[in-house]
Amino acid sequence: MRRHLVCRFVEGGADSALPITLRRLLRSHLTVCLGCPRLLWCRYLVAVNELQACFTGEEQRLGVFILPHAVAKVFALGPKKASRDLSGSDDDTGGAASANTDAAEAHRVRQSAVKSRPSKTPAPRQRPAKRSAAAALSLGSEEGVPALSFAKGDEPDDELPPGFSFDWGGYKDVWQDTPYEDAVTAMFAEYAVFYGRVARWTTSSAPPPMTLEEADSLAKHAETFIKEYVRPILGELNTPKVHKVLRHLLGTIRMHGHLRNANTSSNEARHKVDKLYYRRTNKIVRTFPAQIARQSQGTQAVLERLDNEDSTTIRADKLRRRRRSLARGGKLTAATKRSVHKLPRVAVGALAQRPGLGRLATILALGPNEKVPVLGQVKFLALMDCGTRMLQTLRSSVNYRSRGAWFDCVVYTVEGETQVMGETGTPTAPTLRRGTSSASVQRGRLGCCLQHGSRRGQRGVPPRGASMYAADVPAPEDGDWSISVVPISRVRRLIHVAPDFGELSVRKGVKALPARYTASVEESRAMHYHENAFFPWD
Amino acid sequence: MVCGWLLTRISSFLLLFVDFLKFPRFSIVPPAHNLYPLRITVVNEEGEDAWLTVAYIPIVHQGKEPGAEGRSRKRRSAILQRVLYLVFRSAIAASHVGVKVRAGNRDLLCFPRMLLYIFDLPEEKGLLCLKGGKTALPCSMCTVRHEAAVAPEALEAVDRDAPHVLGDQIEASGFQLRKERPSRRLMLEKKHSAHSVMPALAAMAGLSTPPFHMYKMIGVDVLHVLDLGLTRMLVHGLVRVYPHVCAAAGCEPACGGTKGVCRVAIRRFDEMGRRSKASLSAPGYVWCTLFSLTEFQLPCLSREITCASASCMSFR
Repeated sequence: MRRHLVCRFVEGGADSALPITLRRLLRSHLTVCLGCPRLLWCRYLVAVNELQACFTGEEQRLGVFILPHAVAKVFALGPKKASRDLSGSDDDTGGAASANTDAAEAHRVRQSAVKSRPSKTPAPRQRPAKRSAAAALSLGSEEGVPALSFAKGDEPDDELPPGFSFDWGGYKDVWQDTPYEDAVTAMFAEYAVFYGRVARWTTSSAPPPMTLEEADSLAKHAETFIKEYVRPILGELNTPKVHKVLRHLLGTIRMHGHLRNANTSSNEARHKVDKLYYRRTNKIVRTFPAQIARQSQGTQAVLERLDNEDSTTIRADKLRRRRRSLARGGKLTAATKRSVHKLPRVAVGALAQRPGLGRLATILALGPNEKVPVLGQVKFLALMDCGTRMLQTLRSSVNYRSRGAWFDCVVYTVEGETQVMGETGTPTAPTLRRGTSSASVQRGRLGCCLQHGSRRGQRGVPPRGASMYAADVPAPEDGDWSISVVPISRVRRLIHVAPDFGELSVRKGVKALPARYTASVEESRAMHYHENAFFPWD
Repeated sequence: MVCGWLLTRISSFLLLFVDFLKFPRFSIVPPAHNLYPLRITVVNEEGEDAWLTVAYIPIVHQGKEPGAEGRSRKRRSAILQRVLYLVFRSAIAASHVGVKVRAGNRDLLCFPRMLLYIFDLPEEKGLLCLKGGKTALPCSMCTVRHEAAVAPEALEAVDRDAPHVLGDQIEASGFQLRKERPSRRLMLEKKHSAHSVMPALAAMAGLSTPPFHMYKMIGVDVLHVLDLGLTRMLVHGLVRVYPHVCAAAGCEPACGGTKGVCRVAIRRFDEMGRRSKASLSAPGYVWCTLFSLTEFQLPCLSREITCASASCMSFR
């Protein structure tokens, strides 16, 4: 279900100079004008007093494997507070008082806003969530239980309890002298690994089958993650959802099998179908559910029947083509041959202007005005680290993503190593195909190289044993980038490469961004990259 | 009607899914109407899993008068339980006495069972008539106290005893209907963090009868527990805890405060491309494939170039 896009005004802050109503109007106006609220408000990490767009489950999911890279060295502790030392106040208490600033600031602004209202204006009605929280607090006090931090479903259940103070001693017990920023990175890295196991992501290897042993291992992993990462780093998150992960994972797998059986993503996606038919109702509370049922269910039944008829016809047509092909002696029909006539043809000179391909004309021995057909993607049979074969798509399309060109990275074997062989014993058989037959070809590929780096990752930080890379930039007199040609049969699989923000932060500061295509040779050489071991491949 | 369809199937097991559906008037204003679509699937039916929407449960609007919230909550809960009973009444009866189903040449006596419920936390509480929000026993499956929900003691928490809880709910709902002994009713409610209402599904055999799976059929929904739960909680919790960490360490926050730290992280997200869907940052370069002339039978071309990759890496 798509969460509504209304921004949540968490609490007023120093930058919330505009009245909330005005900001809401401004936002709605901009949303209507631009047609895409994400352009303005799609931010993942926001401060307490900033606006937060509501993400869908898919958007949250897509952040899992990127968070360890994005937070590397970001949540570092700044310099010591000199003023506190001079005044002789206790660090903890003084610091705690100032640390509550962010959280309390919004409350103060809200209080001042309330006070500034005319006295005749009735006090603003307390929000239902707040009132239920207050009721629950009273209930908790009756039972002699300190009430805190449980919330209802969609309500944000990540608010800290009042009077919260970070247990620095507990953190030190687990993490010793590890800097806090590295512990945060390690926590997200561990979470990405855990999530990948739960969701059965294929990262660098295929997931093992879900057996009871695997479920037991998963439950222990969850316990370790909560005990050694979440509690020391974030304090206590006493929420039912975290409790479910900690306590009931094994039991659920034992009772219901694979966790995928209980994933409601596909079901929530079906809400979109029902929403389409809401406009066909009269929108009257008493009658619209029946109208929705009739419109939506009836139409879906008709569409399903038509789809079945279409699929039957297509299947019969394929069978007829195959019979005809067999009658011709097994030769392929025209539909199974790959044609290049519809491919866009681009001049070599234009291709050479793309990043890193300055010497393309020389390598291909073609003139800059000669045109060649250009493909945007190639499918090939990848070989994962565990030996699993998997069909992957290699993309290099300028228009693949709306926000710019998409270029994939690949790992390949070098001279002297075994080639990546297909199942038939031939070099990898990519499925450059139309129709049903695949073409087994030997190909070369031309690309820019990265050197295999040797920087050792710290404990738990994103590399986690993943390969490190550095840009292979030759001397200026030798050209722009190192380009080489390697047969496609040596390509093992796609990898996702992320800049090493941790190293970049140490070298140039936290706010520095990775080197661009147009950066100087020195800057390009200094950049480090590593394989994103958490990236899931479909 | 649904039950009739179910009972014609040899497949006796079904899954239940309740979720919240909002119909917005526009994309930026609160929804006009809400419904709970109720979906089931039969797990041992041949073919792929098909979810069937068996009911749309309307959600009563909340008034503005004093006490409207409590009243509307009760109405919503009552409607939910009644619709559930209407939908599954035949299946409930058949779960006890069985139903004859013809399978091939044989007549079988089948006993439908409910195998799994999957939903978000509020729907879970509503379906089982348990108290939501900040309660003493926040978990629907076990009796862990809320202050120990994520503590190591949670691993030793005792599972909910379905006969005990349901028995007390029957007693409390009787008091509620007859308006008798409010103090005992409140005590029973607090004891299990449950409402004085009987869940309709408790009538199903196998849930309130041996093997008493009433509180064991709750699934861990990856979408709500991990995606919209733990993932979001980790990120938001970190942002909220960070100032306290700096205070405990006696340090200033880096980058000028939490807001600055978040902005740095957001810029990195942008760098890595729309929250990691693409790797737009350097090195993102062109990759070309050379095709052999003869294998592709391209009479007019000497070579074909496929721009397909960013950068290639030596694998050693």
